[in-house]
Amino acid sequence: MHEPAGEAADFERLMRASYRLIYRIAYSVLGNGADAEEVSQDAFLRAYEKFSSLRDAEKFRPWVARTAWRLALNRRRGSARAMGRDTSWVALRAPMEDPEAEASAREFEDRVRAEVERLPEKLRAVMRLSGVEEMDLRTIAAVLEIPEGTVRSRLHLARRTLLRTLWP
Amino acid sequence: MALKACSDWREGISDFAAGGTATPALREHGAHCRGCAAALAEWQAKAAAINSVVERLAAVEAPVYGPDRVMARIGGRQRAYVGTWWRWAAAAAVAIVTLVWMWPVPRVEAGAISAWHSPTQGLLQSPAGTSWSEVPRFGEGIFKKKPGGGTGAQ
Repeated sequence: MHEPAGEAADFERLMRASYRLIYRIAYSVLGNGADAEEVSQDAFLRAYEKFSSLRDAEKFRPWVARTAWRLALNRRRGSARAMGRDTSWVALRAPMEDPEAEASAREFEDRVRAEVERLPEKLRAVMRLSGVEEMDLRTIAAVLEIPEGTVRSRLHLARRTLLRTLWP
Repeated sequence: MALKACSDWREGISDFAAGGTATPALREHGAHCRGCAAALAEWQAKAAAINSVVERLAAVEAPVYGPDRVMARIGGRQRAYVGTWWRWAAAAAVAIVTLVWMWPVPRVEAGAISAWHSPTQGLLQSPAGTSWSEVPRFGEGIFKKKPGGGTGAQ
């Protein structure tokens, strides 16, 4: 636990470079800022404890992403609080001038969210991660520990299911 | 009048819009059929709408103080770890000193030690021991003295 100053500095550099991604991964599962932050912190603390084997940036980022993903899923399963998703993400969409169009867009978003939740777990996981900026097929594959081809086919299946459910 | 996709190709078009691959036959058909081309554009717009909603679900800015909080938690843990280590070490040292101080040491009398003889001590004595321990009188040959004490036949 007592790290030399050089290791701590290396850790801090890597942590700062990947914090945003890790936070977003946690948020994509939990939909709650406070929970996402706690999960991100826990994931980085675990990474710090294992840092001697994670010094390589190629290993560090996927490892923390995978840990954050698992921690977020566990928290989501165990916490009723996570189910009360905050709606801060709604504010990210530019407000429309036409109230009717605004209401219609909200309704569509709610439907998409609900349908994403109804997807089988394997498809839901790739769908959620695909929405996170910076997450390409390779990174998603590393987080879920499945081949890239499987990610591609699951993503395709998830999109096709959503399309056919929303527009039968 | 809205153009409609040919029923045979409808599934293939939505599948392609969802990110699947288009068969050469579908490509060829789409190039000539305005209804299917329009349907493809429509499905692709729907797929894009879904993607943008999914992206918005995770499109949140991470708190700027987040990394500092991680470092603060690491620092706090280290301090707690070092603090705990020192507390345990100090407690162990105090316990050892107390035990040493209070442990009853058995007192042994010096006289008792010198009076003690091993049960096999007698075996260590040589039968000729008495001859060595007695000083012969002047003019008496030491080797003429019997082990029993008497003098040999002369």
